Amino acid sequence: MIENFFYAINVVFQWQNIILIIVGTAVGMVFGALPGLTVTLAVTLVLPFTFDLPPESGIILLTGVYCAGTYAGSISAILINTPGTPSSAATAWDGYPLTRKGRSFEALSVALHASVLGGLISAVALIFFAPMLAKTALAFGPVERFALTFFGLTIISRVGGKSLSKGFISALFGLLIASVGVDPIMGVPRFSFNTFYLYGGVGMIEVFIGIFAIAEIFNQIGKRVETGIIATDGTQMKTIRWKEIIPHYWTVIKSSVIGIVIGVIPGTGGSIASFIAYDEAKRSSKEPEKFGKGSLEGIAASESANNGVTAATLIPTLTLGIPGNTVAAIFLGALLIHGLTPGPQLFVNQGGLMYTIMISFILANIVMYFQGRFALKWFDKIINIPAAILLPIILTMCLLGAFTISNSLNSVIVALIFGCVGYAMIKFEYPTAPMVIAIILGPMVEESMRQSLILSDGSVMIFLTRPISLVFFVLTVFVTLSPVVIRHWRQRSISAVSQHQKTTDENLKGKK
Amino acid sequence: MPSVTRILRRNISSITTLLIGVFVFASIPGQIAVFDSGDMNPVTARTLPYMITSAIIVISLIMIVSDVVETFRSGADHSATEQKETTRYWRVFLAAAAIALWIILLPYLGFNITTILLVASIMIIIGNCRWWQIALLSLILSVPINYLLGIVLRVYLPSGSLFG
Repeated sequence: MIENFFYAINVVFQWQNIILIIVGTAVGMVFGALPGLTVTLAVTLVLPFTFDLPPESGIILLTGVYCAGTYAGSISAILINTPGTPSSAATAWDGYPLTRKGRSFEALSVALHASVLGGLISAVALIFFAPMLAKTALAFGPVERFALTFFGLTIISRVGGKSLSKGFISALFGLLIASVGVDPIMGVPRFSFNTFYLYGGVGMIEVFIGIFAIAEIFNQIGKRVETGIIATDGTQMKTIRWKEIIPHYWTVIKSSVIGIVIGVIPGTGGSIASFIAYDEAKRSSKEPEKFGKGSLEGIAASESANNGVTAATLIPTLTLGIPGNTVAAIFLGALLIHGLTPGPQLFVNQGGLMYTIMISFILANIVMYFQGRFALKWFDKIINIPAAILLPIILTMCLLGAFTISNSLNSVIVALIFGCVGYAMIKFEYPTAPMVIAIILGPMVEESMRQSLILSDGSVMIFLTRPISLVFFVLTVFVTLSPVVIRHWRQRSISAVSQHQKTTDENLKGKK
Repeated sequence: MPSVTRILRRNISSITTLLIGVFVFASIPGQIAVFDSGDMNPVTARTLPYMITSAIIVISLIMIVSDVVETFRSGADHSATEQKETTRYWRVFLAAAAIALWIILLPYLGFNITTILLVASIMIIIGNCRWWQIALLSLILSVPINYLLGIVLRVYLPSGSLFG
């Protein structure tokens, strides 16, 4: 462990990697700050440019983009009341009122410090808990792996959108897309439609570019794009200071822990964490009435929670191979492209790389802090770049990124097709995360299922006779059925209350 | 009483997933060959695709039936009360067509010319920009990017068969 740790420090502090992390955080900050552009889009766009880099450097670049992108959503949330990323929505509730009061720099200062602290605490959690979980996961055989991936997919479908059915459909289509290409056990081509390109399966990165980037560009083009207007500020303070965050240190620690716990659960993410942390901070605050009207404590809670998710979401990704959210799924894709299969074995075979990822999270947060301090004065200009300028630039990057994957137009065609699919999914409110994660997990699901059935001579009872697998299947059934049961129970209680109200009204009328 | 057309329109996504599911299910025997492996492997290459497509069909049917039942039970047409979103689909269609045209013309006209055309057309579709912005951005995103990719990443973009 110690040698891996020192190897990681040696790699992360190489000058090329420091430059990459600076570039990554700058890109992430710009994308995160621009309303409508997400951190997922930023990571997707950068991904094709990591192919020629060593795996460590590629991951370091992505880490910078991820951390800074998550933080920078707070900038537009505070300055123009438009969260740059969905996880900064709660920040806007208190950030924008402060901007209107001429206290934008105080709000930005708290957001930056809370984000950095949340990110650092999350990175420490990753360093401590990931190896422990990986050790436990080493005992998993194909039966347990299948049960775990199946559970992961179910929970991601369950929390990925408004409708459980739509989440399932999305995940199922992801599994179907993953089954294109040569079958992993028998080597039989599937759904190739006599096309040589499809023998290798549908490219993961092309799908990412299509679903996350091109679909979002279509969405922005179709919408009436409104540019944000910065409230007149007139603030006296123009520097970022630590003292703003000191009164809220307990809120930051508590919210970061909430972020870590939420981040470890697959399918959840920064948005859920920031809302829960905000709610908890309001509940335990001495000044709850200030929340929603310009509370620095609210900003500290929301920002430390959503950055607390960043490294924590990689705990199940790296140890179990189950991505916690879409960005983690892209990280997983990046590892797979470099020939590394995420899971507990990765800690045994590639311990140095694992610790490089962990240490890079710490460095990314430190770099983000200094860049944030330096760049804040420029963000009012960046967030007002018109869509007519911004979207063609991103589109060109998407097309170039897709082209560079295989140096052929086939990848661009696949990206365009998935761009159209992704746009239709946005319009019909199908969550995209289950599909993307299912595409990544698909081969693992199939391989472990078939290996298990070979072991049991085709009997599905093998999944119910192993204790770990049984626990995961019970959890899967619970996760699937619980919303239906809760909805039914709520409907019954509502009808019982209305029936009771009706009877009481009738009795009162009878007395009169 | 809600009309059939409105019910169909409301369930268009579920109907589409149902049709795709049925199509893929029917195409499995033609698309996936099965080799006899004796008792060694009880699950074939077709098993998972059959399971997935069956699940897609069943869930799509459940979505359609539950929506129809709910509509008739409540007696109201929800679509009438749904808020209309102001999406300009023609813009999206034109943008997708511009990208498709870029893919078709790229091998003939090369990266520089096709990208100038693509960027200019996307900017015109979005609107709210001046002619000099269009000219400047089109040029910046074509020739310098092409040059940089070649130098830094050694990715050589097509120069166009029409220009040798």
